[in-house]
Amino acid sequence: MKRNRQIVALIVLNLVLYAVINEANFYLTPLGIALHLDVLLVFFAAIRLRIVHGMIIVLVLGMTAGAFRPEVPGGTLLTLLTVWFVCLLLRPVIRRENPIVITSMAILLQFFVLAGRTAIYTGHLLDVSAVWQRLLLDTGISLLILAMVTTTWCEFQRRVLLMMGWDLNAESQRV
Amino acid sequence: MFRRLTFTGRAVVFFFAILAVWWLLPFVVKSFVKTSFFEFQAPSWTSASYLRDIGSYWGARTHSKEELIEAGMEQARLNAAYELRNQNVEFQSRQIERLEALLSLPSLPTFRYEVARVIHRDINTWWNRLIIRKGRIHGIRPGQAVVFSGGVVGRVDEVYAYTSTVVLISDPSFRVAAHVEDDERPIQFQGGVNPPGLRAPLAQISNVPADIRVSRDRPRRVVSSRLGGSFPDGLTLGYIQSLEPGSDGLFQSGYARLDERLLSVREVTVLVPIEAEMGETTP
Repeated sequence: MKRNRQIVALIVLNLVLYAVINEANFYLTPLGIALHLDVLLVFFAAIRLRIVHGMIIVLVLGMTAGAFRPEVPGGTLLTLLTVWFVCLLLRPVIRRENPIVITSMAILLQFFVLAGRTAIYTGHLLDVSAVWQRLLLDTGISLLILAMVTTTWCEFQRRVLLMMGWDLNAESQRV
Repeated sequence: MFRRLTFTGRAVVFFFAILAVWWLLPFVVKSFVKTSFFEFQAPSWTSASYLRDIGSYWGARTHSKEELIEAGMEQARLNAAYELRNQNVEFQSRQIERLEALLSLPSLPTFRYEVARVIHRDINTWWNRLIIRKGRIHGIRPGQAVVFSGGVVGRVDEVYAYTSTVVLISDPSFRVAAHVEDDERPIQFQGGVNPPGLRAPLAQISNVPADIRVSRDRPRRVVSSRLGGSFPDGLTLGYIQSLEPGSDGLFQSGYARLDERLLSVREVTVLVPIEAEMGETTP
């Protein structure tokens, strides 16, 4: 069944979230803090939607988020694709209805994304204590916020889809 | 056959198919996609910056008349001081031109100042970048120097139609030739560390001659050098507070404290070389 309207709605919702995170970072920069919530952009698509639908959302958001970053072209896209792929692999073995499982999974994935970026981009500076302080603070705050909002954000997206006539719970029960 | 695969099997096929497609795409296509997505979202950042400006405007309107009169008087005093300084600068410029003509020296590079608002900040441990609200149509080109009242902000990295990205001097990839004030010998300046909290960012300094002495009470100013090509001489980069001797005993290295305002800067100036602009317009 075609779900074009619903997929576009999810893309728009996550683009708004991306804009809100950017705006928050604009004001947090003078305080020496940066929020890293990339996983949140694709998490719902990865754990609840079909493979093709999820892939479309990951492609659009990965290319949007990566357009400004000084990584190799597609660096952010590949990171988000990997997150999406890991979620797909874990989907059959996790209980998606359990908020603790979902939140823990998002936190772990975000942690691995941050650890990977640190190894690639700041490997030569890791002997400086100020770098560690900054990394730990950014990671701590980002993961704390992720712990607070992941379930709510996923539930919000599910309800938006429900309002648009797509009941994901009923669909997963049928499967 | 694809329908017979399990969910995990299909996920693996999709993932590796996307990776293969992305890997096989020519670099030109990848760059085009990146630029397209940047241009696609640039209006949203510009709109957000205009909304912030409107917010500041309405915030400023809440000030009382007394506060405005006081600010106006302060502004008048500043204008008078700058007027005097302008006269002094004009006199010194004429003096330099006369000496250049007398000694047949090549003239120093001259710049046009393009003031731009900061519309986006991406400052973290890995990279330190800004997006400014001026681009190719305003004459901005990659490599041009970006400054503010506290000294050097960074260098223009990528230029789009109406926006540009700027690499800050605190970015780990930023590297430039510099020198200590009142000492013409070149040293290396590299951005690097952004501590958390309200502390100033730090930059790495190396190749500092062994006879240069600094202390926390008497820090030395590091200024830009013409050797790098894009920066005029004498603009503040930071202040060296401590130095350690290197393993060869000839040079020292250490950290320079940068201006705290670098992380909250809202307006910057791009130095557009006039000679380069004239070269572009001349057929």
